[in-house]
Amino acid sequence: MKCAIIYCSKTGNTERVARAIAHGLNGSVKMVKLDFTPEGILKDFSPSFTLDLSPFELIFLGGWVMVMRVHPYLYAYIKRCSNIEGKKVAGFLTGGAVLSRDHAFKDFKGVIEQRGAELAGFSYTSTLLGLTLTRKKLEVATGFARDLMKKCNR
Amino acid sequence: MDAHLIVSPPPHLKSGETAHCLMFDVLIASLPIIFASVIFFGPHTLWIMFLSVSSAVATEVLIQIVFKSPGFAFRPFFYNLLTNEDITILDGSALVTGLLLSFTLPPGSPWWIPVAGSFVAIAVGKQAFGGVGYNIFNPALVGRAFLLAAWPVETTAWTATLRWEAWICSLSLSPQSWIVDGVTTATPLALLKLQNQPTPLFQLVAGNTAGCLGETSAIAILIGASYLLYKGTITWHIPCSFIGTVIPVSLLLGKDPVFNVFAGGLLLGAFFMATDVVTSPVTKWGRIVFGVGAGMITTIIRIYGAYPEGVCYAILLMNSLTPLIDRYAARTYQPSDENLGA
Amino acid sequence: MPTFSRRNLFPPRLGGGAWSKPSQKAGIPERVIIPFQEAISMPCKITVHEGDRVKAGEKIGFMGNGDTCIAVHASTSGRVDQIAPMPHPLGFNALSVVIASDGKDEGVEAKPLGASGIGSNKEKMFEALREMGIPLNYPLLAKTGFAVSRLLINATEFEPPLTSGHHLIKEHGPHIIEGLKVLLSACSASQAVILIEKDRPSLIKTLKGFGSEVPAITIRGVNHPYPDTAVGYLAKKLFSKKPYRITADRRTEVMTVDLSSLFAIYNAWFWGMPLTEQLITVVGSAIPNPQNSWVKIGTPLANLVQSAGGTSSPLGQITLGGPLMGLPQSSLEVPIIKKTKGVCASVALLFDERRRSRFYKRVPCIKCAKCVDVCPVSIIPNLIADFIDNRFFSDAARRGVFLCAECGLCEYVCPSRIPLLELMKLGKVSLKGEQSLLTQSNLKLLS
Repeated sequence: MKCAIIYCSKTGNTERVARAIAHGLNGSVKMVKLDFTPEGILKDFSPSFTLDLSPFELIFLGGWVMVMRVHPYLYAYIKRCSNIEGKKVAGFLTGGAVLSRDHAFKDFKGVIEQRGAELAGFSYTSTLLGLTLTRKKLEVATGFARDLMKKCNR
Repeated sequence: MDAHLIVSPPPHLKSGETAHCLMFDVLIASLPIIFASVIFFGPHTLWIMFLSVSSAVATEVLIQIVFKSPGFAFRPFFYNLLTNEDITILDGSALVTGLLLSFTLPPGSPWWIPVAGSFVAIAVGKQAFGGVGYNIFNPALVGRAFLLAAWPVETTAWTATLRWEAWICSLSLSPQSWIVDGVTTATPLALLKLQNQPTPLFQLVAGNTAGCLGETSAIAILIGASYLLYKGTITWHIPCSFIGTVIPVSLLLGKDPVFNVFAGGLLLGAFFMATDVVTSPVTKWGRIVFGVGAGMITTIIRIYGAYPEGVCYAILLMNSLTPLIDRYAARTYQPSDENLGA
Repeated sequence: MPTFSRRNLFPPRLGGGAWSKPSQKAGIPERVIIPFQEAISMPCKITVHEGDRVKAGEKIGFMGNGDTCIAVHASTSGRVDQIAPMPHPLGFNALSVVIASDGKDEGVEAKPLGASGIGSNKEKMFEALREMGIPLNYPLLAKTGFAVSRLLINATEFEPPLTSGHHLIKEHGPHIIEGLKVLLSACSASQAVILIEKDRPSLIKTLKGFGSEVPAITIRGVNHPYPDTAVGYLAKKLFSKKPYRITADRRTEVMTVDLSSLFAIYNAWFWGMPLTEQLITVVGSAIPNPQNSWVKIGTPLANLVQSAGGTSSPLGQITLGGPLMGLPQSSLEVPIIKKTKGVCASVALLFDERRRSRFYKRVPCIKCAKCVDVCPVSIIPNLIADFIDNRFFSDAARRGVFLCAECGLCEYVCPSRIPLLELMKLGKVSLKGEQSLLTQSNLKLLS
């Protein structure tokens, strides 16, 4: 089953979680990073925008949480990406505090369903300035990816 | 295909920094000072800082809910607090004001001193002028000046530094024993002025003297200030001209310059209070004039004035002159063909 | 970690990958749109008619009149399709000649200027350069009697992702110095100063190596790149005896030249070729192969983007120039004009208003003075913007709004997200009228 991981990472924490998820998926995974300037303009040519999401069955979207909502860049990407309707989408978000988890989940679910995709799973990793992103949390993310893969394959 | 090209005015690139980045830097630079104050005065200084900061933030939230966004939705509370645009606690200026105010309080202050001081600092010193960016006076110093005028005894209740062994031995389960009961002593400046008793230099630099929470340890302040200078949050103009004026003026008036630099709140004031971005001039020469003026007023108050410490009032007086300095330090150009032509 | 590293006020060099690759020749477009006006209602004369066959390098008219008259050449061979007002990058419709190219690109017979021996007569020399279509500051030359005191060349690259100037030095360094020598002898300047950034030591070495036999050429390293629009101010500041009184005296009659003009002078002197090609950097997040390419003047943007890999994803914004000073275009049929240095095509994301992060909304000025520290012409942007916000335009003029080079650095750096550059432009327009927006500021932007 073909999976794609599209993530947006500023300080590298989301990237580490993305790599942990790729490790958990174990197969051929397409990883694409969205690299933005602070005004929301992509820095260099990024294959994420030319990426047609139709051949993938499970798509992981990752970003960080800002002021208890999904970050505007990831939000805007979800609204503008092509052919996400009907796909299974799993979100992995990172954020500073665990308090924002429910709000971020509601936000993410809202925008995914608005696009017509199906929310298959959600994982929230709390990192405080990158200091609390321990290996255990990365293993939790890997386990989450593995379980999700098994669930979707069934 | 190209029906949706965005035509927006240049520049299309922005640096990612906002105001809260500057405040975050000041917070990190204050960590050595917090650490030093805990070492010298005991852990209840953390309680004073916490009270001051939370009261400052709470005042800002209160005033902004009442005056700026009367239609504030109260639930979910934290979500709306952080995402509502009129409530500007996320830019960190209230937090920094509360923290800097607590650095100017003595360790023996009761709980209502930082609360009242922060309230006045934010309400009168900042929000009454229009919020961030519009205030003329440094809000932390407005709070301190108010406290000094309203409750002079409690605000100058200096205690000696903590004797850890004695305090730890006397700890028990009851909360009364956690609060440090200090021995009242006078600050080095007061000692010199009123009792003519000098303090050895090593004590001044290391911080083993009585004084405010933030002003005793010169080493901690210098570490924090060097971080700020390295990062680029403050420039060298104001601190160097401030301290660089105190030295010759005190020499001229016959006092020991090194003592004057390290005793009292000069270093804290020069590096953290005078360099507050909103209230200091904008051009380089303006900043040097600001520092020189503040240095002169500080030394004169210290030597000839009634107070042993003059930094607070010096900075407030120079803050009131900042708009004037800005007006004259900026160059004006006469309309001529040079700058009105293509 | 980015939180703890030293704050850099200037934008970092964005990637793009165009620096490491050699420059390429872009293919010949199907049609070429050659505009004849650089400003609204600029006088021009077109000497061809519809249906004529032209060759590359053939003169088809001139634009401007009097001292600013410059010849316009066809950049590729073909048949003149239309002569009509077509969209111009500056936003208005300029009278243009559309040439449908036949792909053969046959050139007209070239007569090198050096061989014809007009170097001795200055007036004839500059007229010949005008006939070759090379943009120089001809009014200044005429005013000073073809004898300026110095030449100032800005070889720094102000926009972060563009590298066309540096590529020109890297690949045609000796030719640029040859062109500079020709110009020096023509206008009898005593010194030519080339400004280049200190962190490009290979380029400094190249220029010093080739320029060492001419003592008049000085290479000067600067810490930060300068915008081209601020070079006039820089000339006054560097060479005037009293830099704080910006007055015009003989010493400050400095002519500023850009690198592509020097290369064009070399081409005209030694090969007799008029200015028909321009080295342009095509970068951006929508371009899979960022590159520097030699592009015929008048190529529509669509061809340019296609040759760099095309955009299979929806294009968000395409800018003529760089991200700091460039003008975004509203259609891809706009041609490349003579002074273009680069094209940035980005796939911008569209934020809807509710989601735009509250950190990127405008808040009151906190007077952090970052804009003052970064401004290349040493004016005080926050003060001027405050005046313009409250509509005190004459005060803004007294504080120096017309000195503003519109480089965009102040708005780049502002933590309160104040639209400083737009306020400056608003001030200039309000003081000089609608015409000024298109003639003054934007013309300087693209040069």
